[in-house]
Amino acid sequence: MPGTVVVLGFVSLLTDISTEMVTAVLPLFVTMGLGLSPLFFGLLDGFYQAGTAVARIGGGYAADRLGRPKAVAVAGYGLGVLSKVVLLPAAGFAALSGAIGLDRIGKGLRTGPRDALIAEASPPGALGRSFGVHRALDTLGALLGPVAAFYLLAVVPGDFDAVFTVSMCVAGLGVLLLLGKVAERPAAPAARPRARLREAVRLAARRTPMRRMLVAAAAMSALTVSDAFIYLTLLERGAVSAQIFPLLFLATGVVYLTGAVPLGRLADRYGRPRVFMAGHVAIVAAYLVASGADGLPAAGVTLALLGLYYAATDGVLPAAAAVMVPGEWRATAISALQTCVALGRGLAAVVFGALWAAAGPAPALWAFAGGLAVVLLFAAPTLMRGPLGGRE
Amino acid sequence: MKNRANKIMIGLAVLLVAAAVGTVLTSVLSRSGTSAAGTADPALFEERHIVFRSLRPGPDLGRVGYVRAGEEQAGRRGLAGPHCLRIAAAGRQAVCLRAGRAPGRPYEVAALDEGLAETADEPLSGVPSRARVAPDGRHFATTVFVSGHNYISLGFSTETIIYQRDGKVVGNLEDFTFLINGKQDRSVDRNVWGVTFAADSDRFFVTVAASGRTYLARGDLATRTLTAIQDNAECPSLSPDQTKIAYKKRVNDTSQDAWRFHWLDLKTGREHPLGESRSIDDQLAWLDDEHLMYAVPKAAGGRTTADIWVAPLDGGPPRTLIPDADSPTVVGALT
Repeated sequence: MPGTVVVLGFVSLLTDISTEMVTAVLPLFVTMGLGLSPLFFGLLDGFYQAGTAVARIGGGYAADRLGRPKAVAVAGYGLGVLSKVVLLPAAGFAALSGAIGLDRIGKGLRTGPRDALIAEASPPGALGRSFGVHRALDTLGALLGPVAAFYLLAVVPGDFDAVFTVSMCVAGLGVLLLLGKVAERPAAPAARPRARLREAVRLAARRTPMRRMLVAAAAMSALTVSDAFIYLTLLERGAVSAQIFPLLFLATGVVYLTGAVPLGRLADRYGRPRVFMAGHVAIVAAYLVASGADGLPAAGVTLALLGLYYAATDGVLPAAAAVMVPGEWRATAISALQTCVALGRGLAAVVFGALWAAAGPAPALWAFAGGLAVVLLFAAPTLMRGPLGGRE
Repeated sequence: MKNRANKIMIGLAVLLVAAAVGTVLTSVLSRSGTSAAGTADPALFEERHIVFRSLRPGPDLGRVGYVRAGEEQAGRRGLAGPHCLRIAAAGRQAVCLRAGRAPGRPYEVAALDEGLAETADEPLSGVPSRARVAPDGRHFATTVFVSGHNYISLGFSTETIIYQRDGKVVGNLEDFTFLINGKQDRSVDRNVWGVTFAADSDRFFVTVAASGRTYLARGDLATRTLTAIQDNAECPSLSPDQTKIAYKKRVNDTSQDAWRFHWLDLKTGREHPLGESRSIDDQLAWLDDEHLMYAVPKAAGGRTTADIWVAPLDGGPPRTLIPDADSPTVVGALT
């Protein structure tokens, strides 16, 4: 395992602990600390998602154009630290939305360049495993963050400033680790082509595996229901009680965490697009099980399938993309893919929400399961072309 | 050169760790010291007292506080019972909404007896928002913001539950039948919050939001129904003499200046504004039949805290009643 990949994994682990600490206490901070209603959060969410998409594409392109993915990643992680600094004196809604906005822009900026760094540090045959290791550490951080915040608030009840300060320090450690232990991409030799926008457009216009992947990922994501709706379905059907509801994301996270590396290795061996598609088969199954779930066993199966979906797609997608484009375009390609996925999921949330309101959870899930199955059938032949599935 | 950069990095990392540990230690030390809390005054529920959440810095921050009504300024602040995020009391009963004791149980509600000792606790499915105890103490109600995790970004919804004195659930108000103009509303996005109980404790008023509109509704535990009676009135509070309802009205869609307090005369049907000109998000509580209490957040020494204010019904100017406190309710004689 390349050292850089592990270091980047720990950078993400620290950053996620930091971010999730804040996310976990933010609703309490807003109601108890600021005396505001958290209902206002919902209004801003769409706005932030659009902002993240722009920052993501921008971050990937800037990393390739400047030939300095590490520098852009440092800027992205740095904004994450800065957002906690802004939170400290936050006394009102404006400062609060500013802090959240900074955090999301930072997250958008750093993702593409960081994944490009992982891809560069990893032998092409082990990309799936490398991304698996990174995502496992990343998810571990996301699970540890809320627990850390919980214990911290138990020691210093009501002292949100202490939580924000510790969160900022943890994020700062992540940035230091990145600065000190990850090398910048070596300067391009004069002979090596430099990334230019015209080139990118030409690449995207051609019938490349990359373009097929982009279209397929966008179409599949547009039929991917967010976990929240699946958890709510389980709650609505009485498969889980409100008391264990907070633990559902934890269960999904644990499956994702344990499955990320094995599924990454499987992807290296049998083809990344194949495992990516298999992940979507798992989520179709998750919809079907959830729509009829009547007890804890069914809920458990749903959560396991959901975790497998993440393990088979989240790190496998950039691993697949990394070998489909020339090295100098990696950050752009990966962030373009992730933007397509994010926008697709955003669209899916809106459509699914409307369907849920009109017809109820089970019919909405059946509709999405049917739609996704059709897309999978259409996408399978093109995506699995070639001996390793998409690697031509 | 490389070596030096390494040393700087390690130095910075040590600084960060020290800053984190220092912040937590400072916070812990600022709370150490002797707690002023004791056993609750035996006369607490016999004579008129204001029960609240004490926000004085130190080891008793968040603990149940009380002061004799009429002696708010000069009277000694009594401190007893657990640390809470929200408190309400009435009859011979109090409730405390607080952080849970395990990561899988983030929040819980504890029922307290007249000595403010815990008699039962139940998990809550979100961040505490409102709490009320019925005047006879037979029932109590909680409202929480059900929020998801980061993976979940659905926005927020509320959950309002009515319990018996012993913590047994009577009902989740989302499951009650909701009637608008005599017709049953079947919208799935319904949200219910902010209960106030009538004297008999089986009837109550509450806020219901459905299909983008917000209603003041009358509720009935026997028939498990909610009936819309008016638009745009949130977090109602019924006066001790049962003739007036006070609430907050949404006057603006922006978050900065969203609310104004009003009260409705149930005999004449006329609505009157309170003299409070700030936008405050709280459920009003009656000090007596002529005065209303509410908490106003304030920043003090970099920390956000609150004072309890009081405003007269006649629209006169509000004033601070109890500094460094929130969650006020009155116990003792009803009127």
